[in-house]
Amino acid sequence: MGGNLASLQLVSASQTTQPFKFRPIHQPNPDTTMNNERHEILHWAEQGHLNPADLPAILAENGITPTRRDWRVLFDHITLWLGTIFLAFGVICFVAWNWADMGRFAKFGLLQGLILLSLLPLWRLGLERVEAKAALVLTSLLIGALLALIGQTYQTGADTFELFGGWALAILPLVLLARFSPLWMVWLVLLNLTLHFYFGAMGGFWGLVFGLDQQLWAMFGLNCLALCAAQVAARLSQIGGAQTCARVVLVFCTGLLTAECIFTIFDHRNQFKILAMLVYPAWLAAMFYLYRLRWPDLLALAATAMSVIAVITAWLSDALLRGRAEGELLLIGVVVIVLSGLAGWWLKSVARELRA
Amino acid sequence: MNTEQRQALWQKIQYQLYPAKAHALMPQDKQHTGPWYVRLMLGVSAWIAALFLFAFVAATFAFVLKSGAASAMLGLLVLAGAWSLFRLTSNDFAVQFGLALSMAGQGLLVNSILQIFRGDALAGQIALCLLELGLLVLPNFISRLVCTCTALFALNLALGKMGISFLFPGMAALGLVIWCQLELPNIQRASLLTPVGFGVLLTLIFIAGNPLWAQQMPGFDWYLPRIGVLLALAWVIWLQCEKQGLVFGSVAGVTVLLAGILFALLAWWVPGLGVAGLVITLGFSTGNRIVLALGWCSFAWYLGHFYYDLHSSLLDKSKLLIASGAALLLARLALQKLFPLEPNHA
Repeated sequence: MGGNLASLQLVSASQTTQPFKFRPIHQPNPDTTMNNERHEILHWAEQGHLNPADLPAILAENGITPTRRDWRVLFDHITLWLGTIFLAFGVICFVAWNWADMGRFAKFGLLQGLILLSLLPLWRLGLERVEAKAALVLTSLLIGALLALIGQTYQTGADTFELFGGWALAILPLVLLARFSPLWMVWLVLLNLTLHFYFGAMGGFWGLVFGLDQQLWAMFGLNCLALCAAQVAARLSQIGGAQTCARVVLVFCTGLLTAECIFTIFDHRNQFKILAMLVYPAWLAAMFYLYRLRWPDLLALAATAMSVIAVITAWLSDALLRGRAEGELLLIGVVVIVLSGLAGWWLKSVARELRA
Repeated sequence: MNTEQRQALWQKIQYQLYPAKAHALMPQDKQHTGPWYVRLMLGVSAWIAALFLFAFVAATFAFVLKSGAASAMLGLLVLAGAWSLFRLTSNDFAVQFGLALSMAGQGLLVNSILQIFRGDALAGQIALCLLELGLLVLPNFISRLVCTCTALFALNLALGKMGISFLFPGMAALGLVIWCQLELPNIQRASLLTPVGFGVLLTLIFIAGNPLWAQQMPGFDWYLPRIGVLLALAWVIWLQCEKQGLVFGSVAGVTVLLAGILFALLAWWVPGLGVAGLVITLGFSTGNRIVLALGWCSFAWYLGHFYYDLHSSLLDKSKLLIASGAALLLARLALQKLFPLEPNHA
């Protein structure tokens, strides 16, 4: 058996390199395919179609379990990325410590020197190599530390949202240069934090004007834009991981809109009730059109189904649960079971269709 | 994967196994449970439904919740209903109803234990742990996952009560490694082993790596729990070295040993890092991308926690992180000199 396997020179479909072409988003990426292959093989063995004793060899031969070279590549990535992240976090912790024994000019000199040093590899490596991406990530994080140091040293009186907003603005050129999905996600997190702290800070003074609803709507709008950008990037560019980013942002958007809808259901005097009543059905229709009809994506549909169940449960709870409502509790429980059963049945039928 | 891709994979495996024989047809897809996020959606929905069912019982039969015996009786009855639904039908609605019933039944049993062992928390926690392990007979993935997590939480609380909660991370880490060892030889029991393994994994990530939880435990020790986790990690590395035919006296063997020592030193100071390292290593070595992704997510979570960790000052953290970061980047340069990465010719 081992000899048979060793003599083969078969190349796993996931290991072949394809020339770039326009890629529909629902086409599986290699990482997902590899996990699916593992799942399929184990599923066949579980059903008794493959001998469990052959599994280690089958998994190894199909590139699912790692070879020595794969471990070497992992070490390469881990040392690079952990080294980069630890350095950046170490500097951030150093700035946060606000060491009194060190003068402000020394601190600024140190940080600015580090930023210049972190940019040095770009001169030799260009922008496409993984080391260059790591250098840009390090620079982006160090710029945040520098902005924090400015605020700390000169007590500018700036709010936290200004730090994050300024940070996002300052690293935008690097983000554009890097063409690297994780850095785009860092940038999006910074923008979300800016909005979060902005409404948090303003809410104290203008509770009626800058409430949680506005924050959720603003974040929903921002992430919708990011979702559109990620979808375009996933289709038109070779930015690795854009598809994963789009899915993460999609789930986040659905969560924000669901939370806002639930708030408006329970808050009877909510000024955004009509907006929610208009946007939510439109969102559902868009999800159905885009991710069921146009580019089938089970994750998007599962997130949407969960959102519908949550919103209907909230609506029923608000409408029915008044005073003693034993029967209503049972009714809502049964409705949730029926809805989730329906969603499960539908999603599994879509999954079967995608597998056909 | 669509049918064409599955067919190609099946043919390839058949050719690898029996090159001279006629290839068997790809087996029919008997049941497809859907990807993990569909299961997650179903699990969360069942949990919401179970809350309403539990509230219904509490509102209608208040006396049931006040009596341990009545609560246990009703809980067992509800669980028997769930078991029957799981065994008798694979209809999506019935399975979902069974799942909600199993969670509501577990809630009633937890209540009965709280009532019966009101004066003896330790006995209650041990009873709950054993009970939840017994409930693994319910043949449903999500139900088994929830039972495993609940049993391990109860075990953790019981160990805390005995003042030996520091043993838990090592036990859970060891359990995780054993799960990975047992997974392939016992693949025909995957319907039981997979949810149990993921239950151990999630509990380990939440409890053992989470200093905020661990600090609440009586008998908490800052460093002792890390020994068990690091020993489990050392075992995994040893197994992998054996699998890859690595001799410890060789340059590669010494490099792995040095890398292990460097990581252990770092994990000694950064809470949770050992757990993240173990999960990442296991996920990568078994080719299980879900475990690998959970490992990286836990790593990000623990690193975020480390910033707010009050056990050491920001200056100490800064020194540790900068030194480790520089050491890792230097180690990368050394690795590239010692073992240059050749292009993949596969």
